[in-house]
Amino acid sequence: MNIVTVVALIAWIYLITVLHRAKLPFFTFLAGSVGLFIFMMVLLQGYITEPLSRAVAASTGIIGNLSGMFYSYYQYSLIFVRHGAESISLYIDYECSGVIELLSFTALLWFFPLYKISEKIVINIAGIFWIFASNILRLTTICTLVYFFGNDIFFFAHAIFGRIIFYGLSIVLYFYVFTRSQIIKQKVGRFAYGSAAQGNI
Amino acid sequence: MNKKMKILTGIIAAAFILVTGFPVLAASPAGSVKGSDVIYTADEVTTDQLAITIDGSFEDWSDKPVYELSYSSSTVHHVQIFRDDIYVYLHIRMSETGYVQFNGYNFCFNFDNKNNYVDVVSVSGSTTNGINAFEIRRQNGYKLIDDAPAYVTRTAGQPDECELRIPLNFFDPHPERVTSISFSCTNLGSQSITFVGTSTAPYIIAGAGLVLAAAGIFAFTKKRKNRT
Repeated sequence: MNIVTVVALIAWIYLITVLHRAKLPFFTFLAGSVGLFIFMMVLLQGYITEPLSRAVAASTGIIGNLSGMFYSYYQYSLIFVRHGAESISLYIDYECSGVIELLSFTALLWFFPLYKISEKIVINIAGIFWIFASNILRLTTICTLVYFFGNDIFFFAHAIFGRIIFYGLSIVLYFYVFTRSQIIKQKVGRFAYGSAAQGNI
Repeated sequence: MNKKMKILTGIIAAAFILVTGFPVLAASPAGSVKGSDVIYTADEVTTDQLAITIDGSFEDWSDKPVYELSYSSSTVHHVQIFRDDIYVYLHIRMSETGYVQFNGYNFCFNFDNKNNYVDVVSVSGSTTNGINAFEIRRQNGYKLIDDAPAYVTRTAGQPDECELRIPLNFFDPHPERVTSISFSCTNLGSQSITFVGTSTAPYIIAGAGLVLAAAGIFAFTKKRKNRT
């Protein structure tokens, strides 16, 4: 951690305390979640990406091994798909690993004021597994399409079909965690999560 | 802890056990996946060695995916491609029969749909038994590529093998942005082999999450103010 990061971290914490004391929950959330995301990207991303990429490749590879459609070289974060004489290696780098989605979800959740800390811990872990599983499903879909239709389908499978699946599942998660919870609290008042919301806002 | 929380915690615990077990379940080395139609490996050793050494010895390729380039089923060349943050690596084992001698002309590396042609030629002008040093030249202008070693190993009764590496910044000034690398060579086969990333475009999702959560908080705060 260099001096610039330390100074920025102190300034960010000070800003959060000022916004919190001023009772500005929206801006506390905005500055807090964006700042936390940036600091986690700077400080943690380098440590998380490689094991996460390997885990994604290994997990996808299990499905591939069971189906016989594709194979994982998880130690290199690679998935190998063959279609007839064609073959392709999918490389799980940091933009494919889901690390950015995991960190952004975590940052948003921890500054979202409608949950207690214990609830945030549980939801955070559940959210991580949801995003992880969504990424596995996305990659499995891409590999399956390439296996059946060849390399020509790769762009469609990766840039359109796979992303629609991943985006759809991510939006479902965000809706359940960030939108539905506060709607239920407002309208019904029986949702288990968010019982501390009145005190937090 | 209420009932819903207990159920959720139980599901998370089960999922955690399952996911942490994945690397163990998947621990069978890639080289163990054998079969005539799937993957060829030089041997069954898993080196787990990310850094490939270009020295004319090919053990560090033994656990990486192998592609086939050919024009006919009787003449099949085995090719491996790999990349890290700095280099792209290539290993070629010529066909077991017929076309056994290395031909390094007209190698095409395609970086995000841009073709780059290079030739791999002997430093001494000929190839003899043993390990032979080669050099890599850009086809256009025949300029020598720096920091791009290549070796061809010739053994009596065996097909030639070549390994080489080329700095990524030779092909693209911003290699960190390159998502797709393909290799093809018309002298070896009609196929192209591809090494590609599959980005989720993650900042779109992060932005969507921020908007949804911010909208939720904004609406909630506004309603509370209206009530009071």
